[in-house]
Amino acid sequence: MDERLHGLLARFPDADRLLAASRDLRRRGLTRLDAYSPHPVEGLDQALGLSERRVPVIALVCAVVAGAGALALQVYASLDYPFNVGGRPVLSWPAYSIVTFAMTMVGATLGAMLSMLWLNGFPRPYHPLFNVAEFDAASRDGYFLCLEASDPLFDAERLREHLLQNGAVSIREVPA
Amino acid sequence: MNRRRDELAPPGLSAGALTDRVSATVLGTRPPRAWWLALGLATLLSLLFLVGVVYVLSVGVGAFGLNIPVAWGFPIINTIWWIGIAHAGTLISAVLWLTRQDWRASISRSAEAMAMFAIVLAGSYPLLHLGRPQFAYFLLPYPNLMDLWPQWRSPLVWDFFAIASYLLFTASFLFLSLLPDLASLRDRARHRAVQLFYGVLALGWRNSARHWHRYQQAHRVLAVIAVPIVVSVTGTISLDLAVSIVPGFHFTIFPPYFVAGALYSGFATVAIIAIVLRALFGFRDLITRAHLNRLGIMMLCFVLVVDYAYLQEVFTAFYTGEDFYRSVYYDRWSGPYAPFYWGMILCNVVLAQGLWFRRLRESVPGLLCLAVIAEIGMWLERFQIVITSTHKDYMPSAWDTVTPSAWDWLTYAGSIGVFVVLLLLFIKLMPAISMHDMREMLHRRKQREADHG
Amino acid sequence: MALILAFALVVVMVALGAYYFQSPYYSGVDRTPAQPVPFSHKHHVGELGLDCRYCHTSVQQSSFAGVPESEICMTCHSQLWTNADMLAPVRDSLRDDKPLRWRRVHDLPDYVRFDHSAHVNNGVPCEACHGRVDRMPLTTQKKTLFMQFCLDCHRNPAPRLRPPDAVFEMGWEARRGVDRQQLGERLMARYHTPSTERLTDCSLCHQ
Repeated sequence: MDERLHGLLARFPDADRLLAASRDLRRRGLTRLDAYSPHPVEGLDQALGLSERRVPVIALVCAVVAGAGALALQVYASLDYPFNVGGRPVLSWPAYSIVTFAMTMVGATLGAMLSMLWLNGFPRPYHPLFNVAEFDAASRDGYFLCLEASDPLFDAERLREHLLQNGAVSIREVPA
Repeated sequence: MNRRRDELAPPGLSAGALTDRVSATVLGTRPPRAWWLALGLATLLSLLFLVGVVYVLSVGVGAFGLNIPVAWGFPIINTIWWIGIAHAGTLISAVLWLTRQDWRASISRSAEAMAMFAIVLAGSYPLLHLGRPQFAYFLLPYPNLMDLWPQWRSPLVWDFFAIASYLLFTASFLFLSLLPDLASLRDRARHRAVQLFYGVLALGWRNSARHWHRYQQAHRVLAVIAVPIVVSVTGTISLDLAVSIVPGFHFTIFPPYFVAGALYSGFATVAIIAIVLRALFGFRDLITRAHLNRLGIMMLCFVLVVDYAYLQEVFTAFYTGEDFYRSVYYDRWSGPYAPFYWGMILCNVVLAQGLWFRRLRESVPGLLCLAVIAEIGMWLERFQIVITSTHKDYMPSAWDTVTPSAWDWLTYAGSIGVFVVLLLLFIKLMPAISMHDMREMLHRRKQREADHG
Repeated sequence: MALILAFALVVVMVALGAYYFQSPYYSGVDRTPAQPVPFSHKHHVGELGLDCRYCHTSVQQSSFAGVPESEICMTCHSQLWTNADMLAPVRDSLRDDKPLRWRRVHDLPDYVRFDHSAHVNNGVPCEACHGRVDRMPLTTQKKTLFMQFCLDCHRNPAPRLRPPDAVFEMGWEARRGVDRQQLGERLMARYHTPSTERLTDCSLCHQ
């Protein structure tokens, strides 16, 4: 049975109860759990121990690389074919600031967008949770907590009790 | 303050009811009759745009009423006008998000869509004005058989990069904000094909805390870079003019002046769209008078900056002591284009003062009128900047008066049709109100109420 | 995986694009247009030793090198090969007073102003752009004539410049032991060749 189980999906009546349950189960040493809510809930990421900061870091790296690349390209291009335009110096760096800035923004935008999509594993056409009809409510007003069966401490019977203690209104098994 | 009057959403509204209502506007089978009517009219108008574009491309830019010394004319007026409109979308979706303004929730989506389509139109005019749009790629730096590079000192190259990066940014931001809502639509859809359509677009979004965690990080990054983008894109476009030595163009106040004007006309457009959405989908309780009031306040802020810039420009012109600068103003006040100047003053300086009155800002016809006045006023402003400055610059032998041709007016009116068509299709295919932003806003409100007992 | 594939696709597309634009198909190198008379530069220049200017009469005076009138052909061919079938079009042209319609082999775009006299009078040999015509049985384009090709020389004319008496010579080389670059620079001073900045100015050729 456990082999073909993705996990337990518990529904909570509101965000506060979900937050408390997440904290509680994390404190009990569970690591493979995820919460689902129709909007970002403040504090939920700390409760689940999500402290990853890769998206902004990647965005920063992309921004710097794109900006530096744009500036280097402009400098290279100006030296490669120097034009005399109104007697301005060959390396008119103030004029380069705008394209450099624009490309920095492009780097940051693409870095943030694509790293968000990539780290979240998108596009992801299939996920076991989509098989649970009630899970549709996660994009409406449902607050869910999913304890995944791959967790070393996973024990369906015991966890079911913990979830109920924390105020879960319904608990379902998610087939893998 | 009257609390009831300042309500941003009906008191008892739950996240579930809101989601159902907004997704019903997309998934419900029949759009309202007014939507069809508007779509039909706008399609006719956008066909005119198509006719104009085809004619201009087959005959050449000479079809427009431009000539030396006024080489820019309508295409550039319209570019500046459209890109300005786009700016308010970015400001609402990013700056108001960073400053945690709850009132952005219900209008941010339409503002972002507006920004997106406005940039597309803004970008299409310079292409038309190239005369040979198939060579637009010359602006890209790529190794070529001519050993040539773009001229990096040229404001026109800056322009290309500014508009292109802004387009990319806005498209990313729009998609980012749509992503959770696409998942909501996927979950609400009952028809298999519809589920597939939104399911593919939602990329597998599951509303997981991990998703939201990274989503918010990405959103924060984009919102933070939106602040300089709002200032820089129109600023860069203003440099096209300000970097030159033409008397009516060469003012250091141009970048801030253009940005303020951009935001003024942009908020006016958001106000028009908000009013239309209220009427079309019955969102009177989600986009409330409090929203209209705040949009009016934003318009007022920026129109005052614009008015200051008018004053400052006249002051600078006379303070320089240069005859050329002064004569630009004598010409604007009494020359062949004087009606445009005084029309601009009437709209942006005189009538815009109506925005001081809360009763006008909160009344639907009142704000609609003020918003349309703002659009006209800002368009006239761009007209007088682009045309009156160049038609009489230094050499009297080069002076000339140009008259816009029918094709100018056709492509201008037609572009509004294209904009309306795109927007109407968007609000039918995508949720016109950001559901996840609204859910978050309602959640915050509930928490506040709980805290205050 | 998809990322690697996409990246590989981009690389392949760029490589294909670069290959296409460098290919003779695009540049026209080795293009040999059919001519009304299969005139052989190899025979006339390489074997008989005719000077270029014998037929291309205006090359030193005008922007256009000049394509010979049928009369010029007839200076010899009224005596030699008078009945050759191959030369029938030349005789017809002279009789009917209708010029031969030669096809252009080296065709520059209309937005470029190229002046033959400015080049040959200042030490740029015919060979630099036309190749070894003395070895061409039929006239063939040997250089790409891209702007890149023009700039190669305009940026550094020295190694290609020749003394005035060698401009029309095919396969001329500097004497052994002479530094080519130094010789070229001496020639540049002698010809008053403009600075590289001037030689790469847009308006020099795109007037």
